[in-house]
Amino acid sequence: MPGLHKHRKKKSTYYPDMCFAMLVLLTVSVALNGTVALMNFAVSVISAVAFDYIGCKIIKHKFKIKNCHALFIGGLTALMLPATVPLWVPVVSCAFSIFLVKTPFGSLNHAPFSSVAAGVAFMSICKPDLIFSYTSAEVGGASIAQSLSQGTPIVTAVDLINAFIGAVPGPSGMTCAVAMLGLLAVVLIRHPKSFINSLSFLLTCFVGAVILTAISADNLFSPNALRIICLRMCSGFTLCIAVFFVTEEALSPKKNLHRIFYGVMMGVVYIILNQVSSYEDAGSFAVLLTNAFWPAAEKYIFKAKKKKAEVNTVEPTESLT
Amino acid sequence: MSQQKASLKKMIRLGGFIRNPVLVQVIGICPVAAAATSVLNALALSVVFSLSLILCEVFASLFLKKVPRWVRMGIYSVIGIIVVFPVMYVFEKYSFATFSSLGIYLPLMVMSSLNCVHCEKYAVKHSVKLSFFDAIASLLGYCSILLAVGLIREVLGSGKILGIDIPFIDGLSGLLMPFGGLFVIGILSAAHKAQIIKRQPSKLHEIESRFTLDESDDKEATLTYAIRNRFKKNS
Repeated sequence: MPGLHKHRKKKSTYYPDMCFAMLVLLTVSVALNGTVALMNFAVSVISAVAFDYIGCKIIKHKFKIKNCHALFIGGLTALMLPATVPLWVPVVSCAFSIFLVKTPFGSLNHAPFSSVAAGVAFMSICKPDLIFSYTSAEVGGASIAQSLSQGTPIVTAVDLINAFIGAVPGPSGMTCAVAMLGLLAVVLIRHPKSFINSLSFLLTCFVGAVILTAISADNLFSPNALRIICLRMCSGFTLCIAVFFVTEEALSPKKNLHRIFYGVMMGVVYIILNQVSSYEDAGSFAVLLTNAFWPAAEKYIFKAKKKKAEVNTVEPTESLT
Repeated sequence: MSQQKASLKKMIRLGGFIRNPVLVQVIGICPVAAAATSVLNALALSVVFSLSLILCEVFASLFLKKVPRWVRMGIYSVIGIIVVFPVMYVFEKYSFATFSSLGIYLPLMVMSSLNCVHCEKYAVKHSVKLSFFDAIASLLGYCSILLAVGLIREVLGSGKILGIDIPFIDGLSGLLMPFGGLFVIGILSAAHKAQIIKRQPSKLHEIESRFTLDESDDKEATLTYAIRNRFKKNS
């Protein structure tokens, strides 16, 4: 009966794929930070799975580890925090993500916000000194995002190759730009539609980086200015958002045009928040704000477009009559 | 006497627990979310609320039954001023830390939504004794949540209890912010509903029907409505 398969709901492979992708980042993180990163990752993943199990028991839902959402929350939380952070920080962050963002809304596809972004944002508010303090022999503990936001001359001391391979201070799994670009390629191959979100987000960030550099630098085409543009694109959570957040299946719109607008909106919010906020990187806040305002923005933008299209289709018939 | 006691008990159970002002009716949550960051703050707010609500309800029940609604609103705020300003003075003189941590929320309690809703919905339609009982019942419900929120936020938010450091607890300062207060209220509200479902499922409809004033009542409450009607009558 081949017809039966037509009606079978296709299982999403997004979260399992992303969990496998995280293993690459974990390997890089362990290579750069040592076994501390592995320990943080393990604690975070175990606590996320345990909390998700408890959450499912509370709301009387069937606990499914196969959808990999709990693993995704735990793993990504650990990779977004510094390797040296105390072990209780990812645990609290995962508890917040699951008990206050995921569980109250029912299940995976019903939460209106990114659980990981909410957990990291909460910890950024509660313990900014722990979340944004990095230890590295390379540039004395200040991340590129921090030095870019404060305009300190450390940027000129950062070697571009080190920035690409991740040997710079930053979140434990997010510093290696080469690995992140590799993951973008995985997104392109495995989830080509989600890649539209990433591409529109990255292009928006690139335009933002060019504009910000043009404001501060005398000559936009000087080697230093180009270097700063590169560092802006590789630093902080820019690539992390492009790979993990803007593509998140449960929150992303389904139509291609909507996806482009979604990516652009997240990029614009991210650039503005990074300039305005007191945190060195406001990526998690930008994701939450976009999640909050996207439904209204989508309704406004596409309703107006639809109305215009309706008017355009009505006009010729009127002229004919 | 036994009937009165039963009535008070019933009112406390219904008004204080089942239809809790904060968790079910969502009345007066601004001070709970923003100012109840410690047990002491919560205690200070409870004192002010208690004085203000009891005075307002008794006064409304005694004298305001035949006064137009738009005038009553002003009188409630005057009673609020009479209670809040002396308390503010006392706090400023004897406990400046509490006074400064309560900030703008102490003077804002002059026009408390808890007072207005309970006076309008209950006090002006019932006897003084029943209004007093209603005030006690609502205050028990309101102040217990206020104290619970203050305690949770003080312990988890600043790692202290009554100002004394608790070992091994590193405070999460996010909980001391208003959004943290709303999270705590949300969790308590969910726990409260779960308890109602588990223990008294027949009372579930009580917490699902919220306090709503009639639209016509709302219209009558406005000054413009009153003035327009007066002109109409004159013409």
